[in-house]
Amino acid sequence: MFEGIAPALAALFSSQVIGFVFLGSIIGLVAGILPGLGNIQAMAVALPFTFGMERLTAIYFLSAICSSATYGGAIPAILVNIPGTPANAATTIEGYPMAKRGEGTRALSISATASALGGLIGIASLVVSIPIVKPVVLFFGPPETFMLVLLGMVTIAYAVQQNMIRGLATAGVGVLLSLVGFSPVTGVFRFPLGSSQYLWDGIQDVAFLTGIFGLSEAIRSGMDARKGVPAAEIIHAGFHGALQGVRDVFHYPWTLIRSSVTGIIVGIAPGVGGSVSNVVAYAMTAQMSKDPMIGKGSIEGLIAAESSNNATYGGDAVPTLAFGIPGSAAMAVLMAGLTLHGIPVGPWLMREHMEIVWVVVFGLVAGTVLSCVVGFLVARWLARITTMPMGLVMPVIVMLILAGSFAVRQNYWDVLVTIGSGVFGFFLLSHGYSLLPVIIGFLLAGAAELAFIQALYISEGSPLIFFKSPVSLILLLSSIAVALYPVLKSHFLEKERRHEKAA
Amino acid sequence: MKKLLEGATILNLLMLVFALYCVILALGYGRNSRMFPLAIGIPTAVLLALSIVAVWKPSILRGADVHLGDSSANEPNVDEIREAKHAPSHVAAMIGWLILAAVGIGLIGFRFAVPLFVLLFARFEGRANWLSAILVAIITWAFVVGYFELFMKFGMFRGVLFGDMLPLY
Amino acid sequence: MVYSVRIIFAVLTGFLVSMGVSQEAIGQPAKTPAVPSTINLVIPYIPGTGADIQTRVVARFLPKYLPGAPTFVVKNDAGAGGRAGVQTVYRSKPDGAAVGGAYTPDALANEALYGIDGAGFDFSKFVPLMSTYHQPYTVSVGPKAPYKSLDDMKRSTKPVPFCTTTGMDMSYIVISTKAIGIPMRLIPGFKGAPTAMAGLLRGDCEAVSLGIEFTNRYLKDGVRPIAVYGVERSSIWPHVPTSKEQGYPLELEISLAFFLPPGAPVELANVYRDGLAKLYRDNEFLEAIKTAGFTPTYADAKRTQQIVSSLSGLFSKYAPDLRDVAAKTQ
Repeated sequence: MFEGIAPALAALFSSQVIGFVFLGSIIGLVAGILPGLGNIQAMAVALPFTFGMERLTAIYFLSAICSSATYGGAIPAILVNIPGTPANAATTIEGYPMAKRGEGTRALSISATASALGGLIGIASLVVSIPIVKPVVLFFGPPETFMLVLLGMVTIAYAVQQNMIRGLATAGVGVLLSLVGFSPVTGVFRFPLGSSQYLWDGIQDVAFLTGIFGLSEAIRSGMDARKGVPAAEIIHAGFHGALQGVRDVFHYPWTLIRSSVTGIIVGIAPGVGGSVSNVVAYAMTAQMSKDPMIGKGSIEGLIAAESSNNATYGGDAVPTLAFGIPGSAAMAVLMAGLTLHGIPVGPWLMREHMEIVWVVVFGLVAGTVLSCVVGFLVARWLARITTMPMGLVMPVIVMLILAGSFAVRQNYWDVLVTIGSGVFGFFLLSHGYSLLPVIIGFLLAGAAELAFIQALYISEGSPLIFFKSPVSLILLLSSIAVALYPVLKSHFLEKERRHEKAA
Repeated sequence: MKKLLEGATILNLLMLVFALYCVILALGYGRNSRMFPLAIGIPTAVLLALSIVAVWKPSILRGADVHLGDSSANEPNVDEIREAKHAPSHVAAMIGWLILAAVGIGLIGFRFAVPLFVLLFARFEGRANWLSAILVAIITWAFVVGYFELFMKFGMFRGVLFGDMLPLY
Repeated sequence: MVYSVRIIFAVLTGFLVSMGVSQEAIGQPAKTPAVPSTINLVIPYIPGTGADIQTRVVARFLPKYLPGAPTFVVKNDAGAGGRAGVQTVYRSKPDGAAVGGAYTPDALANEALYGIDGAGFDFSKFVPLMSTYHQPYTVSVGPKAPYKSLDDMKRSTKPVPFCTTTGMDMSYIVISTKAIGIPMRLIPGFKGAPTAMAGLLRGDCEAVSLGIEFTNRYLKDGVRPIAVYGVERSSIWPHVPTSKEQGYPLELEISLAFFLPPGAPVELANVYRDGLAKLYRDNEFLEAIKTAGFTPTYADAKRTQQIVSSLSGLFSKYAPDLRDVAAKTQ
């Protein structure tokens, strides 16, 4: 296992590699900042440039781009309420209110610190699991994957905010929206909404998420512009504010660890990525936290969102490096880079090229840490965006959202989906609904259905397959416990209140 | 009747229509294809119907309230709700601007729609002066063209009027 | 004086005409058609797949073999089950600005399943340029499966479960098991060949049917090859019998074809064909493809057209079975 560390580190400390790692981190950071784009597009564009590079340099470069985009996405999420990448959706909920009351610098710094530490925890777990990573990947068959996704879905119970009926109803709508399109198992084109081609691949998640989060807020900001609502004044400014953000993260160590672990577990299941860990970790923290500022700019909530999405890289890399199964779309592009440089990725990678595994590990770490350090250093200048008049900022944001949404597939209809979901999100928020149940339902339903039906195919229709493996059973019991917790707690607290009133 | 025309009711109604659309179509699919949609769609439709009925009988919803002690996630965010009472004309105006953006991009493409939208919105909605509006429009246009088209080499949509075809829907 | 000018003029004219005539007589066009300065190489696969990697290498090296050294941009248009990218090229103007790339059996499987209207293209109407990566398909089983030959699988008392992705993998499983008479059931929905392999090794199924180079990498993990769908043994697996040797003469292969939209002029197509022919003799390019783990075979336009016609006939023959299986999985 430790063979290969020495050549990997030796390559890292060469001036050329350091230069490319730094460049890769900046490229990823900038790509993450722009709504709709992210590490996938940045890596795809960078791939041809790696042709002439020495192999290890190329892998360091691509790995740094891969992991640095998520923190980049936190910057517009906090400053203008638009997630730069789908993995920053929940970051908007706490980060933006902080920025609106003038604590943008502090929020960016919290995000940078939580991202860096979450990323390090994620990568550390990858390193620790290297000896057992192949059996771990083979453990997660369709029944286990279904149970894991189910566990994620029951966190909807934490996200309903006050009323279970309304929360579950909107979660159901989110699930139905995700089922639009071609079923990868059955081959049926479901709920076409009049489409014969465009919706074949379903509602595109980047278009939907940037619309429902970003554009809905842009609509609200546009109305503020109309009313002449003044821009925020910055408090906790300068280096002092940034340092305060770093200190804040260390006041919530258990939140950091719990959320990072959530990110890692979600990352291991193929097809379920950073966007899921972000909302699931946040939803759990939101209900368990005693912080009265949850939903209104809570430090603890921000830490949960930003640590989990970076820890996911450690989980994503597990099936990728162990088996050549990309844990996320970004890992698929990283694999392409490895293949182009003569390293086909699969179970043989850990047998024959352990130094490559260490290069990927160190590259992911370097990308995360460098992007967060750069973000920390420029936080106090970036936060000034919140002082600009909304009338000037809002149309720019709208156009960047629509351009980013279009750029993902270069399909005009994605622009309309973004607008449609933005209007939908606006009306949900205006009438007191939370967006989280819709998002969780939308992100997780596809993976849940695929795993469920595949499991039934394997067992020739017998549902007992879900109860056969210990992993599956543990996850099922955890789901039941998680689902019942808010209901039971609410019931007992209500009883206590009535008892106190009577007394 | 007035209650039926309230925003929340219309929203629930639209979501209910979508849920029923999914349920009805799912009934015509094969076993494996309809399992999940029905398992989710039917309860969703029932819950949405309950939410609509609750307009006249609020006690239905009250029973499903979840209170988790001090967690403010369960308290309605009073500031947010106050803000949410936007005038319908303001809402319609904002949606109108978005439709304009979509139509503009479709007809004349990003290259022209981006600066035009930014300029017009900043000037007429945001009440910025002409100089600021023009400056921001030019900067945004330069960024979109420079970053998306020249650097990332995405072929940004040029508009139906300039020869690009709308993709198949 | 006037007479001598006329003679000079006549001689000059005759000289110029004869130059033109002689150019045509030896088959050279008087002028090479221009290619656009930016060319989109459209493939219906996401970044990171085998076709994507090979196409990116082509995009990097091909410009120097085309007049004007144009810029190639690889476009991943992966929607609609692999149909979107092919449709994009089908609808594009035949001016050379769009060049398509697709696995031939993938595109033809879509046409067989959905018909020309449903697929959105008629593959036979594309103007073929060349094809590469000609790999026979194979059938392999997991470490605990009891089968040692195609006949063993045929004699199985219960349907043999196959892990499969969509498109050509599934289609080839249906065709081969129907042709041989193997009772089969599909475990569909695996996203990509590596996931299907993981399913095989985990025991979700007993067999897979994938390309030989890809499958070969998993032999050390316990995957056992049963047959190669070809007429001659492969140098990669010299000890594995072909389906023909086992009494089932089936030729199922994958190939990556490049093509222009329907109606592209022959002269323009020939410019691309010449460039690609030279590219596949370029040692630096061939080394880059091999470094990426792929074998750079080459078939010219005529041979590619024969492959397409032959596969098209095969898919047409089994189209009812493909649709029947698709209906059953619903």
